[in-house]
Amino acid sequence: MLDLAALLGRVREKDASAESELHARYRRFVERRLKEARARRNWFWLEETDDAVQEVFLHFFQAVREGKFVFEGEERLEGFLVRTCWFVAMNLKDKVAKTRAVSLFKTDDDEEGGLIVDLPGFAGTASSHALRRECAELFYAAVQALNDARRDVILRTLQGEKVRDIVRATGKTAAAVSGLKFNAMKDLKTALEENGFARDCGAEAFSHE
Amino acid sequence: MSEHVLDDMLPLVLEGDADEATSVHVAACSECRARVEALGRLTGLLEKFAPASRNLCPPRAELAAGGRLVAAHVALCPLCRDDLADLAALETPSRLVLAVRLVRGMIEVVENALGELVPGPAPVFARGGEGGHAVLVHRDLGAGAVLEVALAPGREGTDVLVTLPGRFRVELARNGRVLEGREAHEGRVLLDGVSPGSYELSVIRSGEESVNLALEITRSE
Repeated sequence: MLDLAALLGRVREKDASAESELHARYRRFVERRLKEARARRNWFWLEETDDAVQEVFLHFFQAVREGKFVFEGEERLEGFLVRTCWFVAMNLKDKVAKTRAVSLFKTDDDEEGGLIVDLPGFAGTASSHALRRECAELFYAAVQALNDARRDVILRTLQGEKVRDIVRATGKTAAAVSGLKFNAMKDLKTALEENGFARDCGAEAFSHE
Repeated sequence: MSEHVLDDMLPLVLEGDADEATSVHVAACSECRARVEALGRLTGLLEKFAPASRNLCPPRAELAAGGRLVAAHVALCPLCRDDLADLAALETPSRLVLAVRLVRGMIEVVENALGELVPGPAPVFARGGEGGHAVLVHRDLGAGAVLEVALAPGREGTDVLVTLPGRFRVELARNGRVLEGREAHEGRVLLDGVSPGSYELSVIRSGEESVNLALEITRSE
C-alpha cells in the first residue's frame, strides 16, 4: 500500500517512470471495465478501447498532478479510475448525436418511457449550469400551451425531426407539415413574447436584424 | 419565380428541402432571406432548449454525486437515466466466470459462466478428484487449438495448469495488476500455489484474441 502512495506521489511530481508503472498496473483494470461496460450497454460508439484507456490515464494523471485526487487507499483509487472511465466514455457518447436522440412521445412497447410527458415538470428540475431554470420553465410552459397539433410539431422539432421526418412519421404532405410548423413556430414566438421569455431569456432569437 | 416565398414554405427552405425555384429566389431576395434567418434563430432557440442538448441536465460530476434536485431531474430525464446506467455498468465488477471451492482437498465447481461470455461450444467439467488436476475448462479455440485449464489443490494453495498447443503466455492478475506472467513451455504453464481470492487469468497468443477468465478460488474445510 505504501509503495502505491509513493508511486502516486511521484506521479504528482511529474515523474514519467511513475506514470508508466501506474499505467502498467492499472491498464488492464481500466480496459476490462470499459470493455465489459461496452458489451453490457451496447456502446457502439466506443470503437477504440485503447484510445479511451489512454485518455482515462491522461485525465487521471492530470487529476493527480492538480491535487484533485488524493490517495486514500486502493479501493478509492479504483473508484476514481472508474469515474474517469465514465467521464471519458460520456464525452465520446456526446459526440455521436444519434445516441442523444430522445423520444418525447409515448410508444406502446417502450416500458421505460424514454419519455418526458411532464414538460413543465422537466423544466422545473433543469440545472442552471448552462441555461437559467426560470427560462426553461417559461419556454416549456409556452410549448405546453400550444394546441395539440402545433405542440406535436414543436415536440418533434425539439427531438431533432425535420419536416421530412415528420412527413414520414405522420403521412402528411411536406407542404402541410411545413405550414403547420411555420404556424406552430409563430404561435410559440408570440407565447414567448407574452410570458416574458423574450425579454428575459432569448432576446437574440427575437431580433428582427 | 418573382413573388416572395409563402410563409408555409419557409421551414422547407430553412432545412434545404425547398424546390429549386424557391431556393434560387431566396438566394436573390434579401427580404425572403431575412424571413428565413428569423425562423432559423427561433429554431436555434429550440435546439438550445431541446432535452438532447443536455443544456438542462446537470453537469456529469453533479449527476454522479446525486442530491435531491438531481434525483428529481433524473426521474424525468431519460438522457440522465441512461448516463447513470452507463456508470452503473462501469462500477459493476467483473462477472464471475469460473469459481471453484477447495473442500477437503477436492475441487468443487461453484460456478462457470464462461459459455455466456465467450461464444462457442460449452466447456466440459470434471468434478473433483484427489491428487490429479480437475479439468475445469476445455475449450476449442479453432484451428486445432484446444485450451484446457485445470486446477488442483497444492501444498501452498491451488495449482493452475494451462495447456494449449503452440506458443502462448499466461498472466494472472488481480484488480488489473499482473501478479505473475509466464511463457508456455511445451504447451504448458503451471501457476502453483495460488492463494484463495479473485483473479483474472489471461491466455495470450500472438496475433490472436486473448482468452480471459475471471477466476475465484475459495477454501472451505
